[in-house]
Amino acid sequence: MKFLQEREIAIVSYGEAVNAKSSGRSALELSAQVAEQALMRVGMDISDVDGLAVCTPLSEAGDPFWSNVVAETLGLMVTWLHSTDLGGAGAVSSVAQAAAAIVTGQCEVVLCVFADAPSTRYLGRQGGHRTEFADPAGWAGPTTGFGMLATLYAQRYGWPEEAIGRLLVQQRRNALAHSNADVSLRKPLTVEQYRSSRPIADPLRMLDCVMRTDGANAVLVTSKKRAVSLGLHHWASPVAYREVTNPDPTHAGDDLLVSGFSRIGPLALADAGWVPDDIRMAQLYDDFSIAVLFQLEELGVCERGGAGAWLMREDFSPAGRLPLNTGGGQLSMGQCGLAGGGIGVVEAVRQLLEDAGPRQVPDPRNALVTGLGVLPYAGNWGTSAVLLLEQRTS
Amino acid sequence: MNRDHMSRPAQEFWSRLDEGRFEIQFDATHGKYQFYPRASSLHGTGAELSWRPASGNGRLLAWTTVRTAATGFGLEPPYLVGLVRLDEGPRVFGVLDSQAVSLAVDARVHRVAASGAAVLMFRVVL
Repeated sequence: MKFLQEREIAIVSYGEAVNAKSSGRSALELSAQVAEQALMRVGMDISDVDGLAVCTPLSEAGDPFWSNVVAETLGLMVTWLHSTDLGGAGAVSSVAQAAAAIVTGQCEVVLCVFADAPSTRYLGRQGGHRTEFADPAGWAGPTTGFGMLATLYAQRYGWPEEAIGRLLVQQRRNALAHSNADVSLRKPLTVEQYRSSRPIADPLRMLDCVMRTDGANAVLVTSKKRAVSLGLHHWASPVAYREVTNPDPTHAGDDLLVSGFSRIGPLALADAGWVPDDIRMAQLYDDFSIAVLFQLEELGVCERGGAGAWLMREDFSPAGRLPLNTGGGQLSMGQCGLAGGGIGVVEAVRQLLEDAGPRQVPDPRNALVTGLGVLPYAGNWGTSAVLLLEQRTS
Repeated sequence: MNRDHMSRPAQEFWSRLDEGRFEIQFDATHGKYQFYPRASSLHGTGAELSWRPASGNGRLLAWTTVRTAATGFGLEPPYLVGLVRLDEGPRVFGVLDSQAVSLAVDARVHRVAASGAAVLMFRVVL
């Protein structure tokens, strides 16, 4: 999205609910909670909103009119209504699509609200190759696909267990300073606990995988002009967005360790005029630990196969040179279903608004946020998406 | 496995396999195979697809040991699942009837007949 280079779009606020396992709450009530937080934080009212973007929740799967019922329940009259089913890439994609809707005059103020309660009610059901060809071959869910990618990584580069442990321990430290992390995850973690956690899909262990929770998050997207007219002085400006789905449709490529990020990562950085060294912090999609390692390499932060050494060498805490998943990520906050991609978006916006309290990154001049979605048949993941944000002050 | 709601290409594949025929789709226009079976070619628009016998030979690209049970799958964990590149070109998932220690990237594999729940199964060529 080249128009983002104009830096005319402003993310002015955010909201986030506590991630909680089996909360008993619905995606609709969680949506209302985070929408109110986002609006009240900047003194806005539901009547100011004229655009709505949502992700389809697992807890409401099968509802063919989800976006409409959210608008109606929140009391929004909108001239732009958008629903996304890109899985973990849904949140970053929605923010970018909201920006496009604003720039093309379809609306002025978009509420992006992502809510899901899959640990209370799970209605997701996948068809096509999943039931026809993957399940009959013993597929046991995303852990099987990521287990294969992790095996291949381990075969080629060795399994950087100590480095992954270091990443998980730091993310857990970050979550301890985050009141919205699931209560069962708000306790310290050691590398030894990671190493002794239950094997799930070799070489992946339980603590390599997210825990499913209920939760919600939201951001408010508008034009820079409107932000100024509202009397706001600080916002996060999306400056680049790239997305690719099904990057190898004929399975011509032989290297399963190449995801869509290899294609779009460098393009997104070039769009914004950044090089990898310019990235101040990264909120990397972390449904599985190994996905973070892939992204560090494919985004050019380190060389191929070098993520383990990078994680051992670098300080990636909020005080470090390249802070990662500063809110704890999904691995230590819990994955609130298909709203999980919003965790990174909200944490990035919170950091750029200098509102992150004890885990605030100093000089938070920019943030890179990613999303990835859906495991295809016999390939790397389906959708890769990168959103670059810069801190702006009027 | 319940096939009532499967697409027709999927039903055709599994019914052939029931009869012991491992056949995959071939696009004669582009001279290429594809898997999984679909109603249209991956290699270009408007191509005719036909079923052709596949050798069942290939090489192993990746694998994992599944240690958590999948709902509705008949094999008790732990079991091995592999991703195979067939010699004809396409990639296929299948249960691996081999010891984990015998597995290696690019190891030669061949398809073996279904065994209980494992309807698509491969074994490392030793």
